[in-house]
Amino acid sequence: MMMTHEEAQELLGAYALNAVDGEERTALEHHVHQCVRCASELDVLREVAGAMGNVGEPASQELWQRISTHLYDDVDEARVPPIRALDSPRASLSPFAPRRDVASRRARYGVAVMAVAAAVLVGVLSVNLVRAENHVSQLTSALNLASHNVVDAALETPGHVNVTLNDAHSVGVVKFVLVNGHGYLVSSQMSALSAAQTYQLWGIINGRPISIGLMGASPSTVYFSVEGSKRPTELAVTIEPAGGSVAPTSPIVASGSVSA
Amino acid sequence: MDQLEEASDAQLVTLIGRYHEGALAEVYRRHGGAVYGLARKILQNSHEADDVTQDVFLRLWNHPDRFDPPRGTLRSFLLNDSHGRAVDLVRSLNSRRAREVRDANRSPVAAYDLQHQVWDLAVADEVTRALTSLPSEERQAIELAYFQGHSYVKVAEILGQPEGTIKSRIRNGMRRMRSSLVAVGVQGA
Repeated sequence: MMMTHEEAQELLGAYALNAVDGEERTALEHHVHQCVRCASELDVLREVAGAMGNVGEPASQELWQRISTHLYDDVDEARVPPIRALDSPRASLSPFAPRRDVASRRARYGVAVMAVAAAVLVGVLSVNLVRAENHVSQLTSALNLASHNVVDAALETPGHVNVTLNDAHSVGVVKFVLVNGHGYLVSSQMSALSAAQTYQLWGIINGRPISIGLMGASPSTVYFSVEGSKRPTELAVTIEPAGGSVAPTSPIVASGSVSA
Repeated sequence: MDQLEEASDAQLVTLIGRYHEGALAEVYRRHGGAVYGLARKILQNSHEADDVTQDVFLRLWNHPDRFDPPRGTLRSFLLNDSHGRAVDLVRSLNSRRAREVRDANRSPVAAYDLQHQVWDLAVADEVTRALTSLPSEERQAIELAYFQGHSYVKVAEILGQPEGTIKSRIRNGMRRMRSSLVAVGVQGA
């Protein structure tokens, strides 16, 4: 079905309202694809439609949790996912997108280079975990080995910062080491949660909690990056529903300041 | 960029392209309510509106390249997605049967900041004013198509008018709305 420019113009308003069906819709889309004037007018009309649809309600926290649990159902492998917490398939630990070109800046530290290389290995293997579920156990062993190497290397890197998060009884239950904007979980004594819950890590920046990522129900291997962002003054952990929260919904279970 | 909430929508979409969950969360915080609200208005069903909202944000997550900033705002892009999916659902349900409003009391914790809320309300007021100032036959055609999810052919049938008349009424009405919105400074319209 062919459509003239005049016929297409007449239909643009209805099309912007999603009120054109079938062959007519296909023909119109074909015309718009080739006609700059119609494409331009359609953009304008869609903005009007968008304004009409702007009935606005508060965003639902429950719905966000539901959405966030499906983020990796249909991963496009052409894009590079962030490095994830290894013990939680859905946990992503990158509030500020990690950069992959950090090695050159660390070249003067041989140990740090090893840390970066191991971190990349962790990332690659994490992706493999997504791709080949039947090799999970093998990969997990390799990942654990790699992550231990990362943490050890980070602890030996000059300028690293140890951060201890204390619980309500001032007992240090979580320890991180920070190196050049990257953080690694050294140890955790937090009790395992049910599958419906997760520990979530927050960075306090300008007095406000910013999600760093999910640590899983039983944190063991965790990596995150805050490189390129303002450094948090404090790290804190809360217990959130699986999938995480946009903002903390429960009291802090452990926190600690990040001092230079 | 110190914080995600200071990032532009376009910057956030770029970060989403790198699987940045925080960026998607921020986009949801800014526009999730509007996306959900429109779907619910069309579907009259909160559960189906949840499904549509989930589809819209997962689609943005999986295909962020579909958003082209020069062609319009992110909110319009998301709302158009929400509207299209809600309309598809309404029609596929052959519908209205599921229009029982189970309006759970929702407790948003991700408050959208006051400045944006005020702006949204102001825009909504202006849009309502622009819509109600249209000639009634144009407004009726637009409302039946947009908020009821009818095709223009169906609208013509409902109103007992030729299809060509309805096409013209919708197009003219939307152009008139656009002029009204631009005149009062609603950007992007």
